[in-house]
Amino acid sequence: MKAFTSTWSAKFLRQYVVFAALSFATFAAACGGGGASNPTPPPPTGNFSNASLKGQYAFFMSGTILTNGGATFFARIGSFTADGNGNITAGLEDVDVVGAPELIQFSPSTYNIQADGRGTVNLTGSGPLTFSVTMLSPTEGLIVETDGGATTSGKFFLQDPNAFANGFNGNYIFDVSGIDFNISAPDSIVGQLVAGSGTLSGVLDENDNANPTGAQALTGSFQIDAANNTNFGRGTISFTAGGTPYHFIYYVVNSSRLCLIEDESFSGALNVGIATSQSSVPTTNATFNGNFAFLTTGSGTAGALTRIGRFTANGSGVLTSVVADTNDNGQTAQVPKGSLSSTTYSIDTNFPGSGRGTLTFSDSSLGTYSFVFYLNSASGGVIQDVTLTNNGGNVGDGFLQLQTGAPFTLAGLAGDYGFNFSGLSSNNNTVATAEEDFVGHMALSSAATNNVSGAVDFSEFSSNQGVFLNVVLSGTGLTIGGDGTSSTGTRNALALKPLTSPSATMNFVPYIVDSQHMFVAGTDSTRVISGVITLQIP
Amino acid sequence: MANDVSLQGSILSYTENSKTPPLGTHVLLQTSSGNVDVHLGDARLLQQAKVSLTQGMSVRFVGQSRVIGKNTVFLARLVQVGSQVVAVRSNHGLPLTPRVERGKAAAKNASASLQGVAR
Repeated sequence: MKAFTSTWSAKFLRQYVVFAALSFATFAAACGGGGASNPTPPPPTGNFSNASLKGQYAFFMSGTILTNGGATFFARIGSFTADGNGNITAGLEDVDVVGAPELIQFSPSTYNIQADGRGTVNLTGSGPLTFSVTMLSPTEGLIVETDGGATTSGKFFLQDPNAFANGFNGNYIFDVSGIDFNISAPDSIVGQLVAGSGTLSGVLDENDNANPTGAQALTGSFQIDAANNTNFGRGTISFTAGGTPYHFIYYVVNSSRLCLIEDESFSGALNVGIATSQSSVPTTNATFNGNFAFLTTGSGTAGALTRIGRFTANGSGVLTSVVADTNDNGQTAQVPKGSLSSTTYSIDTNFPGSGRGTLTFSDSSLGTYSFVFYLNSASGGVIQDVTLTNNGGNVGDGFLQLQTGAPFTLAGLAGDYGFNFSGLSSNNNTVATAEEDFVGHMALSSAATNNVSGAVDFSEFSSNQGVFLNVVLSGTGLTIGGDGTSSTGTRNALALKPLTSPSATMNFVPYIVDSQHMFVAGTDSTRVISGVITLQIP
Repeated sequence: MANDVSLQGSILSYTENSKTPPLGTHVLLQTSSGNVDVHLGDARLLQQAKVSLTQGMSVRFVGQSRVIGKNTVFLARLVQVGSQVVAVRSNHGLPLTPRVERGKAAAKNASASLQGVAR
């Protein structure tokens, strides 16, 4: 769901090349304690430790990397092994920077996890890589590259080696996104994979350059990588849909999840994401009902685009209580602005059991919004923005999740959360607009205001400094509107202030999914950013 | 692209990183029918093409107007300076990502047209 088009300025690139080549060691040392003029977070508290990261973990991430030819979108997936004592003992990744995935073995290195779940993972491949992480639990975490050479966002998951050989079996939905470098335009693919005995079938929707294909049946095969499956869970996938061949590399997390990266050397397109298993998917409009929150990120004709919202599916193909917020490359809007019409959804009976469906709503002031979704259960799945307009269209994708547990209160939500935000920011001092990625820990209290504290690491390539580590997180925090669902149009609000110098508040509109998850999207005009805030379970 | 129009004029100002949405590069263009705010997307595309836009320069844009917030902005797809044409948006209106040389994909598409061809 991460396919922002980076927009570095030439001026910034010149500055950043100098910074990266000459100053990184100096600035990194200065930032280690939060920078000379920045406050340092108090000693972290919590129940995480180095022992929380123990076992084999598969990861996927994408972002922007600086190359000799300039900054470019890139992606990496792979596997690393942590020993629970601060050592990375093995690992392997497929990283695609310039045209084809490169298979790289990791040398032994180190990591550390603090009590609040934040930490650093060092991976040594063809060179040293540094990642800031936040553990959500011992089985899952958030990861951002913070070594100054690249910025990314992604996740990592504890692998089950027992599933490596035969675990890819059954029905899965998948969501991958990136860039079609044949035309330098954003790309998104969502769909269903049905895997068994080396063969694949299913259906997909690709939205490449705002040219959605609609449902395309797929057939193909998958193979384990004989050299790297036993140790890392690696394999390859090939299939054809609508006459178009697709090739992916996968790493098995367990029998319920895979990490995926497209093999650009075949197609010229680079997409990355995950597949998750399906169970009891709705097959009719009647079985898709309830309150749902959604979040998509991608691009529209104006540039980077986020869409976040909620609706109620009534079980008869009608959406009610449709509320949404958009940030269209700095311009925000709220749905409904005018009157709503054509608020409908439909579970696709042409591909029964696929979990595929479509939904749409029209705002008399803002236009028509169109989405395709694939469900992995009645509780949610993945969603793709396929809105077309008079002057083009959108490419975006993300999450769709059942909204449960309302009414939401600060007392009920209080706890420790991990978060990852990704997007673009514009910096007036450097005259640059570029990618930024945040990962951190946020303690939410039940106080009516100033209810957040914590710490964050982030890469912000629109700034001269580039990387910010161990930054205090403050701000007025979370404000809940109404029952917290936003179903009446009364929004929640979230204001976070990383205490850098100078500091700036980041404003978000949060859509609370349940007592453990919030989708958030930035509402500032100087950044287009979004992410998920997840309750930590040490 | 259907509905594309051409806009010819003289550059009044060039802002590589505008504070006004949409984020990115803007040109204020003086045309025979008034001044127009033109959004170009990513300045790196012009840099890579060795095109420098400066005040007073005569330039032609191809694209479409769109209301963004309270403002009407011309979303340029093509920028023409003299005989040189630079694509800054795709044939479906999406801002392009600047290219870096990309291995097999780059070789495969060496003869592709200005806009390239999707997979």
